[in-house]
Amino acid sequence: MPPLYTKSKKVGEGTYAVVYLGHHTATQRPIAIKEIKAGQFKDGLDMSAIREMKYLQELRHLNIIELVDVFSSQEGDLNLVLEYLPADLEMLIKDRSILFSPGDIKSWLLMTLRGVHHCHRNHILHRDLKPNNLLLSPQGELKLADFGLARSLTSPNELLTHNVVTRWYRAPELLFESRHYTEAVDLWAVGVIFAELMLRVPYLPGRDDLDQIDVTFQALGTPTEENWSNVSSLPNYNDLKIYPEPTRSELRKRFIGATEAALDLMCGLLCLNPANRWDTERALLSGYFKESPDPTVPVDLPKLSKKE
Amino acid sequence: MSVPRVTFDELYRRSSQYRLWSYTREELQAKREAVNNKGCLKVDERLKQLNGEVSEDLITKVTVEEELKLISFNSRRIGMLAKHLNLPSQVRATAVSFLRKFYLVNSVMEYHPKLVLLTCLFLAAKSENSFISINSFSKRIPKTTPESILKLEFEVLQSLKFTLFVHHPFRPLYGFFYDLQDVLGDEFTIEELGRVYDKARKLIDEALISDAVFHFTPPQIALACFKSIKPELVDRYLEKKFKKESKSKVKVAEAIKEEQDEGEVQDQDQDPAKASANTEAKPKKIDLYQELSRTVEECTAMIRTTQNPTKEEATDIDRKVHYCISPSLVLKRKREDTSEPSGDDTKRQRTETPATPM
Repeated sequence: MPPLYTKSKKVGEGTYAVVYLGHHTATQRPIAIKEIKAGQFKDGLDMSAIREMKYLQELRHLNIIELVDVFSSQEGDLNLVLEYLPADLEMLIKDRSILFSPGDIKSWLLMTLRGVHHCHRNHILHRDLKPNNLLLSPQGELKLADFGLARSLTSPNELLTHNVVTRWYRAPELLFESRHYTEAVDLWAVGVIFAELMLRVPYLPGRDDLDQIDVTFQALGTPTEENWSNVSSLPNYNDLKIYPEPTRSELRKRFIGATEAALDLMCGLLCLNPANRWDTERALLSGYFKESPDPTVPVDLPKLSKKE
Repeated sequence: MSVPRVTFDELYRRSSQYRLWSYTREELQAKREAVNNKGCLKVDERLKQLNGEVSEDLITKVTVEEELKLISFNSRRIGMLAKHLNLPSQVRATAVSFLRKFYLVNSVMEYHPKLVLLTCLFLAAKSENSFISINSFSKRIPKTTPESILKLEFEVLQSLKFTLFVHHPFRPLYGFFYDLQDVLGDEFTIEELGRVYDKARKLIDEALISDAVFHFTPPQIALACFKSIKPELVDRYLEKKFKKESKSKVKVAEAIKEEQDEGEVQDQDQDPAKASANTEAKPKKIDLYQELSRTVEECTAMIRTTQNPTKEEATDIDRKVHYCISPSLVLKRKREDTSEPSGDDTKRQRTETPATPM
C-alpha cells in the first residue's frame, strides 16, 4: 500500500518537531507535516504538541490553519498533517519592495481578527500572536498558526503562567506578571501587529524583558491606579518610570496616513487596562471596517516578490 | 443593528466531542459488542499461539456487561488517584473520559484498564495544563515505572483519534447556578440553592461514569445533576424559563425573534436547548419546553444507572481478564496450586497482579 502522504523536503526544525513539505498522495494536495519524534522527551509527548493537536482538532475556520490529519508512522512518531502555507506576514512586512495599501492592511487585520474571534468564542487563547505566526495561503488568505502555547479558559480562578507571548507582542498585564489574564492578551498582540503593518517596523521592540516595559510605556503611557485600578498590586509593578499617555496628535504624527477610525481601533486594542481593551467583536464592528477603502480581497493582496 | 452569528449550539456541533464521541444508544451498544468480539478473538489468538498448552475451558472470557463493570470500577479509581495526587477536578474528569473512550475502541481483554488508567491520568494532566513529570507521577503511585505508564501513551492517543478536548458539565453547572438564582431567587433562598449546587457538583463525578456523556450535552447533564438532587427546582426553572410565553401566539413569535436578534453570549452558553444534540430546527418555545423536560428526565434516569460493582465483583472480573491477557499464567497458577496446598489461593486472587497488555 502506498503511503497516504509523502514527505519531500525538510523545511524547518522547531523545538519539538521537524517540519517537512509533502503531498497527499491521492490528491497531490501540497501539505506540511510536523513530525514529532517518539521517545525524544522524558515525559512522553511534549506539551506543545499536545496543545497544538488538542486545539487544532476543534478549531476549524477559514482563518485558522487546517489540521488535515494526524497519523503515526511505524516507528511510532506522531505526524501532524497541516495545510501548506508558504508565506507569513513577517516575510511580507520585511520585504521592502512591497508597498502596502490601506486596503491591504485592513484585509490582513480583518482576517486576523476573524481567526482570533473564532478562538475566543471557543474560549481558547492563542497566546503567541505575532506576524511570524500569521501564515498566508497562495490565495492570499491569512491563517493563525502555531497553537503550541494555546490554552482554554476553564474557570476564572485558575492560575495561568505569565511567561507567554513573544516579547514584543506581550500585553502590559503579562509584563506585570499577572496570573489572571484573559482573551485580552491576544487583542493587545493584534494591536501591536496592526501598528507594525502601518509602520513596517516592529512597534515595541524591547531588547529584553525589562526594556520591554520601558519601550511599551514610553510609547503608550504608564498605567496608573487612575486608568487601571489595582494595577499597582500586580507582582512586577515597581520602579516604573511614569510616562504620559500619548496625545492624539502625537499618534497622528507617528501613524501618518492612518484614519481616525484606524487610530480608534488601534487605541482600543492597545488599551493598557485589559478590562477596557476592545474584544474581537467590538473590533470587528468598529468604524474602521465600515469606512472606505474596502479590505482588499485576499487574491489581490501583495505576494512575496520572487527571489532566487 | 443585529449581527447574524454562530450559535453555541452550532459551535458545539463542530467539537470533536459531538462529531466523534456522541452516539445513539444503538450505536453505542453496537460499538461495545464489536469491541468485545475483537477482545474474544484476541484471546483465541493467544490460546492458539500456545499450541493448546492451555485448554480453552481454563480461560473465561468476559461479557460486554463485565467489561463495563470493570471500566466503571477503574474510572472510580481514577478519582481516588487524582485526589491522592492533588489533581484538579478537570484533570480527573478528562482522565475518566479518556479511559471510557479508549474502551470504545479496545477491549479490556486487549489492554488491562488498571494500566491504561494511569496513562490516561498522566496524559489528562498534560492536556489540562496540570503537568507533572513522569518521574514524580510514577514515584507517587506504587508498583509503577515511568516506562510502564509512557508505553501506552501512544496507544491511548491513537484510540482517542488524537482528539483531546473534552467539554465537561462543570462550567454549565456553574452557569445554571447563577441563572437559577436569577430566575428562582424569589422561591428558593441562596443558601438552599448553594447546598443543591454543592451536591450536584459532586454528582457530576457519577454522571461522568454513566453513558450520559455519550448521549447528552454537558449543559443537559448539568441540569440532570440538579434535577437528581432537587427535581422540583429544575421543573420550576424550565417552566418559568421556557413555558411562560405559551399564552399567546404573538408573544411566542416575539420571544423567538428576540432570542435570535439578541444573541447574548452568556445566555446562549447556558441555554441547554441551544446545545441540544437532538433539536435540529428551531422549534416553537412550547415544544422546546416539552423537549427539554423530556431530555433532562432521560438524562437524569441514565445517571442513576451508573455501574457500581462491588470490590469482590470487580476482583472476580479482574482475574478473568488477567488470564485472558496472559493465558500462560494459568498454568503457572495450577502448578503453584498443586505444590502449595490451600490458604494461598484466596490471597492471590485479591492481589492485583500487574498484567502486561498483548
